[in-house]
Amino acid sequence: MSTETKNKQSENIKQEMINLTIDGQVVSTPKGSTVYQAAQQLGIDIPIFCYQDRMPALGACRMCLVEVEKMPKLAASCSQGAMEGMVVHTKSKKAEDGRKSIIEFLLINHPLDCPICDKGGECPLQDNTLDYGSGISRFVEDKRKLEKKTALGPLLIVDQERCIACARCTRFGEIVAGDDALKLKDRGFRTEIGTPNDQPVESKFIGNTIQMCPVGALTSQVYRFRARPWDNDTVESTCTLCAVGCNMKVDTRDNEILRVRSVENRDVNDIWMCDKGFFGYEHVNDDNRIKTPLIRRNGELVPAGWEEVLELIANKFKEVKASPKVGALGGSPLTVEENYFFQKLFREVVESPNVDARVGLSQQDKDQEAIPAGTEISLGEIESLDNVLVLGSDLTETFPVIWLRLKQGMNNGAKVVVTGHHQTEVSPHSNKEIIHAPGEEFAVLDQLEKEVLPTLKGKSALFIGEQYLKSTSRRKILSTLLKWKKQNPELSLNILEGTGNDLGARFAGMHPAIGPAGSDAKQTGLSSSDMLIQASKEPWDLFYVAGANPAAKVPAPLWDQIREKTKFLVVQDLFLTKTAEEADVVLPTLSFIEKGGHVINIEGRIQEIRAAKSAPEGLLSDAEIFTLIAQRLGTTLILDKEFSEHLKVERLPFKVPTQLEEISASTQLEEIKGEQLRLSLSQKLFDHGTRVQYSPAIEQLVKEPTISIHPEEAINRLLKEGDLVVVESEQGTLKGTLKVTEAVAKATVVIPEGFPELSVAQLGMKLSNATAVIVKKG
Amino acid sequence: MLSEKAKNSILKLQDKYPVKRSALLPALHVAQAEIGYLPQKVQQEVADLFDLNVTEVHSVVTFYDMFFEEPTGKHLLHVCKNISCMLRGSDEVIAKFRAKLGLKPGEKTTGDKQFTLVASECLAACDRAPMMIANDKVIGPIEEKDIDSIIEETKKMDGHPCPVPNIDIERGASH
Ligand code: SF4
Ligand code: SF4
Ligand code: FES
Ligand code: FES
Repeated sequence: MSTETKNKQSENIKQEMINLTIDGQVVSTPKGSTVYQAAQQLGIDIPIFCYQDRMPALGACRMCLVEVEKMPKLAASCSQGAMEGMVVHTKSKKAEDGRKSIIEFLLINHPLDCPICDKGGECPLQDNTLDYGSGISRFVEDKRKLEKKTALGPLLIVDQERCIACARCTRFGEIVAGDDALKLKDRGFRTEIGTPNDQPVESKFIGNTIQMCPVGALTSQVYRFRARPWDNDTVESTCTLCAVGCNMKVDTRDNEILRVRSVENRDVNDIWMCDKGFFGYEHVNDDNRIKTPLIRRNGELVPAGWEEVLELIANKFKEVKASPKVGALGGSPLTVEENYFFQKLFREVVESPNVDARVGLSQQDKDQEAIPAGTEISLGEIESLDNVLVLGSDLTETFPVIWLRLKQGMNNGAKVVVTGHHQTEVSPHSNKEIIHAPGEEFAVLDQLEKEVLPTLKGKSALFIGEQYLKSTSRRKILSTLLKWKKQNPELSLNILEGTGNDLGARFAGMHPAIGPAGSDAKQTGLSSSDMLIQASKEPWDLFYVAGANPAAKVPAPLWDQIREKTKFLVVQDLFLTKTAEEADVVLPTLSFIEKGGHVINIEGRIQEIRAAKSAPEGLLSDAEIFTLIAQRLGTTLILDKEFSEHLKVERLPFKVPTQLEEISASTQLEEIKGEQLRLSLSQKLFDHGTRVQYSPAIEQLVKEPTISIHPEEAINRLLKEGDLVVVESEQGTLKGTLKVTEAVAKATVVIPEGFPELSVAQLGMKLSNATAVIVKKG
Repeated sequence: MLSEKAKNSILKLQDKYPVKRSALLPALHVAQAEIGYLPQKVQQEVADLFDLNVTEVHSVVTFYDMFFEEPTGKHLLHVCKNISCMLRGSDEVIAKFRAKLGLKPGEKTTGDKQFTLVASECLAACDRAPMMIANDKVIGPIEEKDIDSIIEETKKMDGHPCPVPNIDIERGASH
């Protein structure tokens, strides 16, 4: 739908109000509303099961029956359009009897095993039965017996007896997630919910169906039999497992996290979350967390007291003060405040300019980067876009809930064009798709400029993702998009890159060229890859790593050299990562669920995280650790006033330049020779990063990582699916299993990041998309 | 595995509708006519031809009584069990058939693979309740005394490839 027609419609809606009477009260409601919506306006409560206001009404359950004068039968208010002059009774005898009968019908086959049902206490069926049911049962026959605990994968468990066939869960998969994960099977009273042959459900969003099910038919395996809702303590916070920053609430009981649910925020996640957010907290409870500081004695890491390790670190800091061979790495899982302290500790106390939160991410310098990650529009605006171009972004794997918002946008009429190096879950829903090899971005942009750009009408948005951004042509690509923006002022630019609190770390100044709040760094330091490269060549005094795992992000031989040449390595983390295993001192710290502070999402939105449980005994937050070390060196770390003022805005401004100057250093694409293919790095929501690794439920969703090429390329190389292959770049080699799929562009090899067992870092430092590599039999 | 012929026929069917997904039901009949039933693998193949998730195809297959996920016997007996037929005694008719065919509880197909009995949703001939379809022959109202002869008559038939008669794989259409 074009904006014109949309605007017209909304004007019409504004003008055309209709009046009806509900329970004796007159209400004026926009034409097109339902009786249910009109009743809501008056604050009249009508019970529902199948209706869910994020999806069109279905009218399947009849719970919402009301009496409408002059209509022969009771009407389902959720789908009955409100009409001029209508007289509705929601509390008449007839309406009440109708609803009573519906409850009676639903309970005929409902097992009423509330005492052992996880939904008990927060169950709409219980509530509606209490409020609208008859209170006694006339049913003396046998109830039907069905499967009561079918596990569909590691997260979801289905109780078929409890299902009231409202179709909320199946329609969520069809309408909101677009993954068709759950379906109604069979028909009539035999209707069941599930997947063919009970195979594991394929979805990244199944937690939402558990939340939406109005009965205890869909429950979580992780939360199963753990608590009654009234026993839980609930704290609202923000998910930091990706840069969407979904609003969530954490339920704990006896200081243990039992589950996570979403909190409505129309501007960010609406009412949704992804399964990483729903279930990825489990690592916080994991027994493998480091419990005390560790210190290396006689080559072994052994437990030590805080006093000792802090003193040791403080002394080291004195020794290396102002040395150019000192670096601070990491910060993405830390809060803004903690990142602020981290950079301050190094810049001001240790006097080292080498601070960088970007470990293993693309680390273009400011010129190459041209425009940093961020979005012009808010995530809430996505649902009202008319056109969207998704360029090289694998939405469901990197910004899952953005996909849900975009899908709703499509339901509202948005047209979506997708380009990239391989197909994604968004592909089947797109109106047009161009799959192309890395390095062909300009040809694709040219094509879009001719074919798509002139057709864009109304509110349009560009979403550009890592396939295009991790490229040596990034600046040039962005400059083209700015040109488009000039032609079409209604086109917004949205740069989707990074994860967790990456934007917050940058805003706090954990960047070698940028100080707090976007100021220029007083002295420009080295980027993390430059630090690591230098440390692999010549002696290096000290690395302080917090919430990062550089050992997994550089080629193994290089890491060995770095470790050998680094005199002192401090690692601060939840788990003994590969880097931590080789550290001189390891400091245990707190997870995002045990501390408070601010984080910044991809829109630049400043949100709070809050401690939902107390810290495990003897553990300190990153902020506390930094403060204690600084104290020993005579400095008090405080958040300076001016900086904290910056945290009071809702969203940081996202500054888009009107144009980008050409810079001479812009890199040429290397030629491909003979057998070479171009590399494309991909991301997976469920990878083998530290936090997923220690979250048992979602760990089971991780798919074995593969090296993917197009069938034609496989035939040319006499390779087949499942072969063990070697990928060779100029800097290194990588072995892995081959996947042959038409989903990948020709002349391309796609390798996922985030898997230690297929560590793409082995192919070299500073990898970018379009790097020429060879794939051959291993 | 579907033959190329069946696949082509399905692709042709898709061309007949403004939205190709609308061709799913006839396509499933084509697949069932060829394989005899619709195992998971075949449902997946059909799903791929339609760019649909197999969950959707499976949902459709299980909804309709005329699609089978398991091999059937040579002859198909659909006895209607919906309201009109039920009020006129279909429960007894079904029980009688089961007894005569020697079907044990939970069994649909006779041990000799001659008959599959389906207690079916409304077969759209309520005026003849209680009614049934034997292979492709509509029978009703059924009286209990007819049951033996119905079984005998059915035995003489060619059997079913599928309850939709004369599916023409070449042209991709039925009837
Ligand atoms: S499982 Fe729950 S949400 Fe799904 S149809 Fe049944 S009652 Fe509705
Ligand atoms: S989309 Fe991102 S922020 Fe939202 S729940 Fe998933 S991981 Fe958390
Ligand atoms: S809520 Fe209206 S029919 Fe289900
Ligand atoms: S109810 Fe039996 S044919 Fe309609």
